[in-house]
Amino acid sequence: MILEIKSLSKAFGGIKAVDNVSLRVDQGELSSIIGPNGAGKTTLFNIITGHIAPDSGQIIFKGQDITGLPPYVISSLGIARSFQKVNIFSMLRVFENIQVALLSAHGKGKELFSNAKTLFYRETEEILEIIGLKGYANELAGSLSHGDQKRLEVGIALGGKPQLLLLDEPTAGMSPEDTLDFTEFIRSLAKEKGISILFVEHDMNVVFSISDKIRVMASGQIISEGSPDEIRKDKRVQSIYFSGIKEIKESRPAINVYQEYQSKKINRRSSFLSVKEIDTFYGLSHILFKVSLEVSEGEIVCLLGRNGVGKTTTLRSIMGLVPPKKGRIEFLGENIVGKPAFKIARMGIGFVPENRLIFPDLTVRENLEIAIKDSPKGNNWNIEKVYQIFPILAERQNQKGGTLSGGEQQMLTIARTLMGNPQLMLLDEPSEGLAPIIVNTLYDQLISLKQEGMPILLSEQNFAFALSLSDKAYILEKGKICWSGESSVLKENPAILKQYLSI
Amino acid sequence: MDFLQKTKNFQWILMALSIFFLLAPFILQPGWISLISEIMILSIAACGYNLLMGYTGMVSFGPAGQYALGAYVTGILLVRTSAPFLLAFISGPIFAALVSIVIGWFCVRRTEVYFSLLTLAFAQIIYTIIQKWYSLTGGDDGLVGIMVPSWCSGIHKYYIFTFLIWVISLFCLWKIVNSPFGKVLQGIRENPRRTEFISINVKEYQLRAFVISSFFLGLAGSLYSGFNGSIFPANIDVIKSTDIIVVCLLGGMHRFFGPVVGAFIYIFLNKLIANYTEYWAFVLGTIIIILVLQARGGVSGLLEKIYSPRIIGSK
Repeated sequence: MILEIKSLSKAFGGIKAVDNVSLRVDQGELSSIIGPNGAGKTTLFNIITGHIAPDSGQIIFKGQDITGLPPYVISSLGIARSFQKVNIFSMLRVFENIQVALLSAHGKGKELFSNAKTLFYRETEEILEIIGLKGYANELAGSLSHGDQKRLEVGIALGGKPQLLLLDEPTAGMSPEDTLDFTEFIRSLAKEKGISILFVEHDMNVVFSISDKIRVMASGQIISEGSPDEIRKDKRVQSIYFSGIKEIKESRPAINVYQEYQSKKINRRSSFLSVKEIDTFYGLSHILFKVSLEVSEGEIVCLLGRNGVGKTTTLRSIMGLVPPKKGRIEFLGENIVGKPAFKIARMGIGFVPENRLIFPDLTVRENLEIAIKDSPKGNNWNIEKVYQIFPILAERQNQKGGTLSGGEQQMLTIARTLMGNPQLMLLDEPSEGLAPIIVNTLYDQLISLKQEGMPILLSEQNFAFALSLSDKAYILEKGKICWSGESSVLKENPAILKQYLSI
Repeated sequence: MDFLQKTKNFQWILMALSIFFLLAPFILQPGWISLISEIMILSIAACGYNLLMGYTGMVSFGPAGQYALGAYVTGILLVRTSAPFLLAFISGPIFAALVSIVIGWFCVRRTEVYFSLLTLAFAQIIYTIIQKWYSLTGGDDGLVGIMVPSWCSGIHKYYIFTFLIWVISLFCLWKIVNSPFGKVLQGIRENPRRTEFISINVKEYQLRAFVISSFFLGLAGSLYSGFNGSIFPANIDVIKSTDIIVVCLLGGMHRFFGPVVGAFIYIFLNKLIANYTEYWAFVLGTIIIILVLQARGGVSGLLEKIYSPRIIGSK
């Protein structure tokens, strides 16, 4: 046994991110942690590596208590990690990225007058060989493709001569081919180099193909642990991913939604927003591949997909925050690609970002007043009307934004966007981090928005919520639309969901 | 070593400069000699400072503080005591480095703009102490009559002394930025959080860089007090700090010799433009705006782009 965690807990402002977690990792074990967004997986990694101190509990690495030690001490003991978002030394060359890690691992970091250039040349070369980047040794790390940067990320971790390697979503943002390669690479690290690996991953193909052991986390707790076969059969695990769907089938028969959709379809006019084959990049990382979608008047459309498949990027592309390199985006018949975000907002697209960004020191009412904006198409919204939809905001109108709960903040963000009299709203994961009861309220509120005739495009990981709300759905997978159609179809055929969203 | 290309690092500039500097006393007017001395002193300060700004990514707003410590300690020892010159001279940078252990200990506790403001605050404290401690520093009347021994007195002899110190300083700094320690500093500049996860105690390394940088700032100050024969609070105020920062930006902070090139251009521009107009700062300001907006690699980055466009010189 190399790592033992004993009843570890950590709360952030009342929310238990990690709740009494205990686990053991054996020498040479290749195991994974899966679980929905916000389950506490990354927080667990951050605690193990010393980035965050736990509230209680103990972490024992090779028989030594490492709880609360700073990251540089913990990494020197032999725990290395890679990060969810690429975290490399961009302006250094590829070989220097690894050399720095090696220098540090050999305790030479403080040498002032020796020449570093050729130091650990052989070891550097060896790691470059392992991660398959030898041909890029002299390139600037920042100029590598996203997939290669992820490899380098692991290379830096390997430079620290780790006995335990923590990988946080190693294949997120990789193309399907890269993912396949990389999965094999991780397997060989564990099986041939004997490094114990613990990884967090959303791609279930990766998880089930290489893990010796899978742990499932949900709301801060490990709810199941076992071999891939055991996990696949575990009813509790399935319920975590599908809990909502059954519930909504009962409360809102799909047929109603379908009829609603059909009736809408009849008096549907030309499309409101139409995204045509856009390709979007972050730097050199290719994120969206020919994504097309349509939103018609009065329609709610949802974008489904796991973390890191490009849902937010699609919304940001529409909003002009990351302009697509190719393709067209037509809003009310006009191409808006290349327009700055503020102009697109003025044309009538309201964006509700995932991180909410409310003004914490202004009152609820001030938060709303600040956003009042005339629309060229007439002003449908005012504070009173917004309060009708979100009565809780009227109650809280003199309270400071920062003191609201997560759900209230989400409502405030939507309300604030409404004050700008948008023609179309983009919602980025509105239900994220909200308790089920709040999600239900939000559901009703969005339905009443829909009745006002407001078209909405939302991205969601809460599939049940999104499907019962929307008329049309698109499933994104690794930056491509892999399924589109009526939401009711998806709801009635969980098999499709299963196929594209795994589990 | 197939993947280790020879990186171009302006060794040729150093060679050319060294030869030129060596020959200078024989071919140039004394006015020019003193100008070049000033350039060398400023470039030691700027290169030392650049270890912090360009290599570690810590922007200090108060390099004049350490420069002042070096200048005043050497000056005070020479004027008020009978300490031998070399001892007084080396005491300056050592004192600057020692004080910086304390200052740095506080400053590295904060990052980015808070770090910068702390360094500014400490530089102001040093400035105020120097200005008010009349009995020791002479206050606004300055410290005058700083005498150097006969073997280095006079513009030409002091020039040779400055040149020697200049070569030694740049050589040491060159070794440092290319050492394992220097590599780690660059890692910290690129990504402090990541560096922490490869077993680097970031704060400790930042403190070391701060102290080494302070040593060279102090050294430049000591050289200056001997060169000038007197030292005034006006020589070490916040404007001195901006001089040093601007020299790094001007020359290019991502190249080792950037600050040397910067010091050259800065002092020449200063004297040249001052001949035509008193508004030289206006011209300088314009140049800096252009550089920051269009060529963040500074002049050396521009040169490099022209000679080898493949290597990216600026972010």
